Amino acid sequence: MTLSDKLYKWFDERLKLSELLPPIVKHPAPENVTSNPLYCLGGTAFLCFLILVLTGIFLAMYYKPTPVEAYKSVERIMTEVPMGSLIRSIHHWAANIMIAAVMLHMLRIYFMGAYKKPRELNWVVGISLLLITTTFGFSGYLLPWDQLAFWATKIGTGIAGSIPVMGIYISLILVGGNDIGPETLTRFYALHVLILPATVAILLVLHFLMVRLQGISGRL
Amino acid sequence: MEDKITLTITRRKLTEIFIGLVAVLFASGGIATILKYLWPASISKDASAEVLIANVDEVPPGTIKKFMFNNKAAVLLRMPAGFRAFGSICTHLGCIAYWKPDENILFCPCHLGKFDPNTGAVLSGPPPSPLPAIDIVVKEGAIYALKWKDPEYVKTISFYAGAA
Repeated sequence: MTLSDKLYKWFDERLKLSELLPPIVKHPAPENVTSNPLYCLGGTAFLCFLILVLTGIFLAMYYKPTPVEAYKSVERIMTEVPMGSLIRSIHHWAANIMIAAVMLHMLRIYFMGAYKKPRELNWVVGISLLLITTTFGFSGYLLPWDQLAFWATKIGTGIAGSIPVMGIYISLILVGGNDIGPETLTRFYALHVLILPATVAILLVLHFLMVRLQGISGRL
Repeated sequence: MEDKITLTITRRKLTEIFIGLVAVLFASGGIATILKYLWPASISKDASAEVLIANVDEVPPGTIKKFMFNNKAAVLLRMPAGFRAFGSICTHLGCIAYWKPDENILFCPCHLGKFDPNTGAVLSGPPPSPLPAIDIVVKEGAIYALKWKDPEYVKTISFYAGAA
């Protein structure tokens, strides 16, 4: 008996692994799915999300969400912190690829008709994830606090403010004042690193559970 | 297929609905607290307050001073004809216009909008309407901002939302 067998047995006796794991883990994907790379788009987006969480955690250790420090701290990450520019670039590119993957994933579902009964709810959850992913990109855009960030946020919150009736209140709560300032920065930071990741995680659990319950739709 | 939706109201169900309403009432207290917390504190403004901009000797003739009026960027100019104050957010796309002494204009760098420093009127460029004037008063050697000269006009400019 090898060490790993021993360890497995130790856990198995306590957690009933051999009963619980096989039906979850030993679930071969259908042939038509494994042979078509289009089915990888959702997984690509999820992989990007994991990379973003990891690199994001490391960025948060150096980034300071105040008007005076924000740009300087990003500059420091890029120029002084060892491997800092690598971590931030990975974060940047994974974010871009995630948006692209999510969009293409949505197109694949649409054109293969995979949103039809019984998968309507998963389509709804998927669209929510798509919207949250774009909000993620938008809120992350502000954090470097440079000219591009400022004006992009000005326009973005302006669009939110143009919603009839509710718009002005939404933009006030989003911006945290009449104009973009220190409040906006901390609000977007909280949104970007706390609220949105938690929401995405919850929705992803639902998304994956429904995929397992309903199966992957066949091709048209 | 039996898809008729039936609704029977029993005494028990009614009681449950009432208890539910009480729960909603309690929950709304929590939501109101959170909204109140998120509501920007700086918004509460009293319109009649005089805002000190500067002392007169801080602004010699031909110079300017930037200040904030109702949380919006504004500028005080000392022209040969006297003091003038305007909101300095460009009415075109919301950049900040600044004083350009060599051309005697208020200049918006984003799309080359030019404003008259005496009246706020558009001299050239894309801005669709003039900069809003601010009423000021000079007393005891200091300059105070009072109110927008035309609050109704300020309300029509989206970049001044919440300031009028």
